[in-house]
Amino acid sequence: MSKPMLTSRKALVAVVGLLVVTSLLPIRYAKWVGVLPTMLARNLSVPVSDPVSWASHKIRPTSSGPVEDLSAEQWALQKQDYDRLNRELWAINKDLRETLAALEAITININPKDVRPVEAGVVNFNNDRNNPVMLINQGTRVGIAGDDPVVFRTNLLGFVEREPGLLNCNIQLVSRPGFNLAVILQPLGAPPGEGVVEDRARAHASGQYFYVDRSLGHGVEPGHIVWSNDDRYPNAKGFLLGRVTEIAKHPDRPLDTERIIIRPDVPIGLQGRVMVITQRED
Amino acid sequence: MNWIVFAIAAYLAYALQQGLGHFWRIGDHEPLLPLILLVFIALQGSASTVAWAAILLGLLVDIETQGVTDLVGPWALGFLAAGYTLLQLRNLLFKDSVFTIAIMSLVSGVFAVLVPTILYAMRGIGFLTGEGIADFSAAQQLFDGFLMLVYTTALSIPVGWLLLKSKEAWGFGPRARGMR
Repeated sequence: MSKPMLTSRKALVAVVGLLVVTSLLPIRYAKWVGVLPTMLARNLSVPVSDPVSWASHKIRPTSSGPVEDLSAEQWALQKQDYDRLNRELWAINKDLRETLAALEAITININPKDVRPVEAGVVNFNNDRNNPVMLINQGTRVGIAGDDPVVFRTNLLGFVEREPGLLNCNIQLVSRPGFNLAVILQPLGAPPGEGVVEDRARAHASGQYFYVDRSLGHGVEPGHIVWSNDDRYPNAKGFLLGRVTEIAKHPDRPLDTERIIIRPDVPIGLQGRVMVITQRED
Repeated sequence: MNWIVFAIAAYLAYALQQGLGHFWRIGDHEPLLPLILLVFIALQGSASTVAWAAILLGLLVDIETQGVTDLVGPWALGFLAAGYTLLQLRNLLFKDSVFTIAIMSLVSGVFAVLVPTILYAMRGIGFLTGEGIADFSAAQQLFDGFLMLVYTTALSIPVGWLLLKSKEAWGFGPRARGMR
C-alpha cells in the first residue's frame, strides 16, 4: 500500500529541493512564484488581521513623526537653508528644461566625424555694443582655426577671429551690428524640410536681436526656430541662432513687408564655458 | 496531529502577525508567532508531521515578511532546520513545560534565522544567481534575527501556555519513549 503524500519521504525531499530552487531564483522570476500565495494569504487573513490592526492602532496610535523642539532662530535658519535648497533645485530644473528645449530644437546638419569640439573657458568679454568680442583660453595649439564657430549647448555665439593666437583667441560675436548669416526658419519639431523658410538674418544695431525682412504671407510665426545654414561657415550649420519672438511691421515698407524678430535663447557673450567646433584634421 | 486545528492555528498566527505588527513592534523588531507554534508542534508531533508543519509555517513567514526580498523558500527551509533541531533535542526535554517552549524558541530560532541569512548571502555568489541583494548585510540580518528571537522567546511564555492548554484539541498521538 502506498504511503499518504504527507508521510512520504520522497515528497518531502522533492519539496525541499523545490524550495532550494525557489530560494535561489533570480528576483524577476521569484516574484512570480510568490505573488499568488501572498495575495491568497493576505486576502484570506483580512477578516482577522484587519480588526486586529484597527484595534492595535487604537491602542497604540501611529506616531506623526518626531517633533523637533526648535527655537525661533533655529527655525529661521532651517527655513533659510530650505529656501536656498529650493532655489538651487529651481535653477537646476530651469537649466534642465532649457537644455531639453535646446535638444528638441537641434538640427544636425554637420557630420560629427568631420568635426572635433574643443571646450574653452571665456576669460574676458568687452561688452562693446559696436564690436562685441570675447576672449577664450584656447588657441591654435589645440587645433582652433580662423572662422571656427563657437557655441554654447546648441546655440551659436560667434566665430573665431581670422588669426587666432597659440594659447588664446578672440571670438567675434554674432550680435555685432551688421553681421549677417544665411539661416533657415522652421517650426519647432517639424520634420526636416517641412515649413522651411530660407533667408538671411542680420544683427540689429542694438546687438539685442536679429531680424529677417520678408514680404507678407511668409508663413513664419513666433516660436519658429532659426538655425545657421551659411556655406561660409559649414561647421556652424544646424546650430541655433535663436527663435522668432515677434513679427513686426517693417519700419520703411509697412504695407508689404514684415520684420521677423529673432532673439537668441542664451545671452551671447556671457557664458563661462563654450565649445569651439574645429575641423578634424585626421 | 489534527491538521484542521493546525490550519486554524497557522491562520491565526499569520493573521495576528499581520494585524499586530504595528502594536507590538519595538524598533524594527517583531516576535515571530509561527516559530512558537512550530516549537509546540515539534515537541508533541511525529517527525513527518513536524517536517511538513515546519515547511508550511515557514512558507507563511516567507510570504508574510517579504522584507529582504520577494523570495519564497528561505524561511521555509529555515523552519525545516529548526524543526529538525527540535526533533533531535526533544527527548531530552520536558515537552509539557512552557519554559521548554520558551528556551527552544530561542535555540531552534537560531537555525530558523541562520538558514535564510545564508541563502540570502549565497545569492551574491557568481555561479549561483550572481544577483546579490542590495544593501544586504549578513551580520545585520543575524543581529536583527537575534533581537527578534529574544522578543519571540519572551512572547512564547504566554503563547506557549495557551497552546499547552489547547493540547487535547490538537490530537497528537501517543509517543513512545525514544520515538521520533
